[in-house]
Amino acid sequence: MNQPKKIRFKYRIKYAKGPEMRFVSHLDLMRLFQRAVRRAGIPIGYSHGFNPHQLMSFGNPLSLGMTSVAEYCDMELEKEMDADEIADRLRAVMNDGIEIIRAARLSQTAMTAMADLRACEYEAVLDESVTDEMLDKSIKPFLEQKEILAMKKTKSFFKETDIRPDIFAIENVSDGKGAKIKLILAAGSTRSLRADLTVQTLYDYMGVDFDKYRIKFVRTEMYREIDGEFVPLDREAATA
Amino acid sequence: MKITVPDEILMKVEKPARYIGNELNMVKKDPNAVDIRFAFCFPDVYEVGMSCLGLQILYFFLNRREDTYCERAFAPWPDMEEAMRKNNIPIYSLETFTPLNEFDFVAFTLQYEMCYTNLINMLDMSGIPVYAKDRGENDPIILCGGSCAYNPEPLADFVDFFYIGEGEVEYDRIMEMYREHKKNGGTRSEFLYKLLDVPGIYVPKYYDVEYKENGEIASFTPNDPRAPKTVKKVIVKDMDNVYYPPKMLVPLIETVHDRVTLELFRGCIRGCRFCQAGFIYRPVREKDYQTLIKQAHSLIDASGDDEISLVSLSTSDYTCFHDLANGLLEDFAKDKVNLSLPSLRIDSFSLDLMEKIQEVRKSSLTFAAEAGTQRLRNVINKNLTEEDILKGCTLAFSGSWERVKLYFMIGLPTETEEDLIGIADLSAKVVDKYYEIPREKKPRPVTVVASSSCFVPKPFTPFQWDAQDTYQQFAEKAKLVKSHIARKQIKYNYHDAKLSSLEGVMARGDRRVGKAIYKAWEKGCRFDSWSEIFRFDKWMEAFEETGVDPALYANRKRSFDEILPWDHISIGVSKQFMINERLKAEQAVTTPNCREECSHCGAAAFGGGVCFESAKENKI
Repeated sequence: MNQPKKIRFKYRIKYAKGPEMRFVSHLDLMRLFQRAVRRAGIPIGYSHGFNPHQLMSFGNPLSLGMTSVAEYCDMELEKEMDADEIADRLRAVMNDGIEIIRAARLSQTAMTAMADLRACEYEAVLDESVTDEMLDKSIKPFLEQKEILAMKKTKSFFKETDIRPDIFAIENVSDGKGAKIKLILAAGSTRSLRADLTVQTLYDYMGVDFDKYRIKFVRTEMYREIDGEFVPLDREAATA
Repeated sequence: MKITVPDEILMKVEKPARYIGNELNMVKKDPNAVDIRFAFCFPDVYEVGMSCLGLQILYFFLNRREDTYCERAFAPWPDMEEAMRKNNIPIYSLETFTPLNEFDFVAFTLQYEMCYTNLINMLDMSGIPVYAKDRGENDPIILCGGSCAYNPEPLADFVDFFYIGEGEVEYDRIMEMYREHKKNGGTRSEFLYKLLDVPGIYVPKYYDVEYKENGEIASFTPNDPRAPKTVKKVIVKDMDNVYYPPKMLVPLIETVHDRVTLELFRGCIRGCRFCQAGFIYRPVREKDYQTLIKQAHSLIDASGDDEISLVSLSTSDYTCFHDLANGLLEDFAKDKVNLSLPSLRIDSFSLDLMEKIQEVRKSSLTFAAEAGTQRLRNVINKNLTEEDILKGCTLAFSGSWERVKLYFMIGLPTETEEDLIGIADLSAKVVDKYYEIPREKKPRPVTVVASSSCFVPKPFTPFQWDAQDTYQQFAEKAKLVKSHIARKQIKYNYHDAKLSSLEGVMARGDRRVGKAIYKAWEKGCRFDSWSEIFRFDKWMEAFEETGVDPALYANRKRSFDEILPWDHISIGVSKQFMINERLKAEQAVTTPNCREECSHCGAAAFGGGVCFESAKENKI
C-alpha cells in the first residue's frame, strides 16, 4: 500500500496542432499522445492503482475546429532524459498534423501547465464582411466600454456575464490579405473566456452577422504570469 | 478531382473526424503514380468499419503493391449524408478525397446482412449507377467480399463480381490481370468475362435463374460456357507465410474495437450447427506460436496501443493457447499492455489465465451458453455441459468478478417451452453458485445478465433449411423467459425481433429480394442494424410494393432437395454432410470437434490445416 514515492522527472512539450488534426477532440488527443509516448519508448511514469495511467497532463483544451501553434503537454518520466532527445523521439513517431516544437525540463516543483496558465493568445482570420478600417474604428471604443455583456455558458445554462475583465488585449493585425485580429484572453482554472464568444461580441458591436464557421482561429500562445508580465508557458520553465 | 468539404459542414455534423482520414499509419501515395485505384468501402459508419480486421488486412495487403493504391470510404451518418447531398458532395476516399466514381474498383466488404441499403446508398451518393446493368465504360467495377458474399444473390443485380473466400489468395492475380487489361485498352465487360477463369470469383450476369410457381428456384444455370457451374471458395493454406500487416491503422477517434488485433487462426474446430462462420471458414488453419509473438510485437510497436486483442472464432482452441497467453503477458507486462480475449470457451477457461489478465487490468466476462437445456445444446452441437458452465462461473466468482453475462438464442430448431424456461433456470443456478462462496469474501451483490438473441438460420449451416420464427413468435418466447426469471440478481435482455426477422430474409434471400432492398433504400432505409434508425414499417411497405414475400425466405421450412439460392457457391463442405448434421440435430446427437475425430465434411480437400494436423504429428 505505502509504496515509497518514486522520483519523477518533469518535462514540458510544446507542440502545434495543424489543420489535419482540427477535428480531434481534447480527449482523443490525449489518447493520441499516450500512444505516441509508448511508440517513442519514452520511460513515462505511471500512476499506482488498479488502472495505472500515464503521468501526463495538458494545457487548456483547444476548441474543436481550431488549430494551434502553441499547445503544451507535461509529462513525468521515470528516468532522466535529455529534453532534445525526448522531442526527437516524439517527432520520429508522431502523427501527421502534430508538430513537436520543443521539449524543456521542468523543475521538480513546477506546477502543471494547466495550474500555471493565466491567458491564451489567439489569432482570428475574419470573414470578408469585416475590413481593416472597421477594426481600426471599432476595437478601441469596444474595449473602452465599461462592461461588455455576453451570454456565457456555465455548467448547464447560459448566463449574461461581463467579459470585459477577461479580455486582456485585442489588436488589429490585418496584413493586407484580409481582416485579422489578435486576442489575449483569460484562461485557467479560475477565469477563462472563449475566443469565438469574444469575436462574436465584437461582431455584434460592429453590427455584423457572425458565423463562427467562417472564421479561422489559431491559438498562438499560452501564458503564465511572472511579476505582472505574461510569459509563454515554456519560457524559463526549468527555473520555475 | 479532389473534394473539399467546407468547415461549415464538418463543424455541424457529429464526429467530423469520421470524414477526414489522416490516421496513424495511413498509406500515402501519389494517385497519378499508380496503375490501379482501389476503394475499399465499409457500408457502415466509420467507427464500426475501422474495427474490421478484414479491412486492416486487405488495406495493407493491397497497398504493399506499388501499382495499386487502396483507399477507404465509409457510409456517412445521416446528418452527414444530408449535408453532402445538399451541397452535391459525393462519397470520397479518406486518403486523397477522390470521389468513388473515379476509382477502378469500388469494393465493399459485407460483414452482416443489414448493411445492404448502405451499399446502395453509397453507390448512389457517388454517382455510380446502382444496377450493374446500367453501368458503362467509365464506371468503376463494383465488387463484394466478406462473409455475406457467400450468399451473393440478394445483391446480385447491383454488384459486378463477388469474391468468395480470403482476399490474400487471388487479389494479386486480379490486380495484375486488370493492369494488363487496362494497358491494352480492354473494356469493362471483357474484364468481367476474363474473371470467369479466376477461382473464387462469381460474376452474376453470367447466370440465369428460373422460378417455380410456388416461389422455389426451378433452375440456376450459367449462360456462358466459360462460367463455372459452381464457384469454389479460395482460402489461404499456410497461415505462417501469408501476408499479415506489420502495423494497423490507428483511428484518431475512439472506435468499437479500440486496439490492435492479432489473428490466431482461421476457421473453427467446433461445428456449432447454427454458426455460419464455423462452416464457411473450414478447415482450421493456425499460425505458429513464433509467428504470433513476432506479429504481436510488431503491431504494438507500430501503434503504441496498450491492449492487444487475440481473435479467432474460438480463441482458447488455439493449440498453444496457454503458452501464447502467458508468453505475451510476460513480454508485455512492463509496458502495461493488456490482453483482450474475446470468444474464450467456458470449458477451457483457466483460473490461472484469468488472474494473470487481472494483474494488468480487469476485463469483462461473457459466457456463450447459447441454449437453456442440455438437450438443445446437443441439438446445436454446442459441446458444453451445464457443469462446464457452472464451474466456469464459480471460477469467475472466486476470481473477484461480480458480474457475468450469459448469451442465449431463442427460436432454435426443435426448441420447446422447457428449453426456454431453461434459460431462466440456468441463470438462477449461476446466481446460486455465487452465494456458495462464503459471504465475507463476497460482500457485494452479484449481477447475472442473461441476453437472448433471435436465431437466424444462415446459409451453409445444417439449419439452412429451417423455418425461422416470426417476430411475433420471438416476442412471445422472450416474454415466457422473462416470466420465469424470479431472482432480482438476474437482468434479462432480449434483442429486437423485427430486426432479426428481416435479417432472416436477407440471409437466405435470392435475386428477387434485391428489388425489395432497392425499394427500401428508395423509401429512406439506411443503417438498418442501428435500432434508432431502423424502419421496419418501411421495409414491410417495400416487400408489399415489390411483391416479395418475406415469409417465403424466412419462415418456410425448405426441403433437402430444393435448389437453394446459394447452391452455386461451394465452401468445400458437402451438402450431404450438412444434411447428416441436420438429421443428427433432430436426434440431439452431437458431432465431435475436428481435433477429436474427423467427420469427413469435405474441407480436407483444401489440403491444409487441422485436417492434416495428426498426419503431421505422426510423421514426427
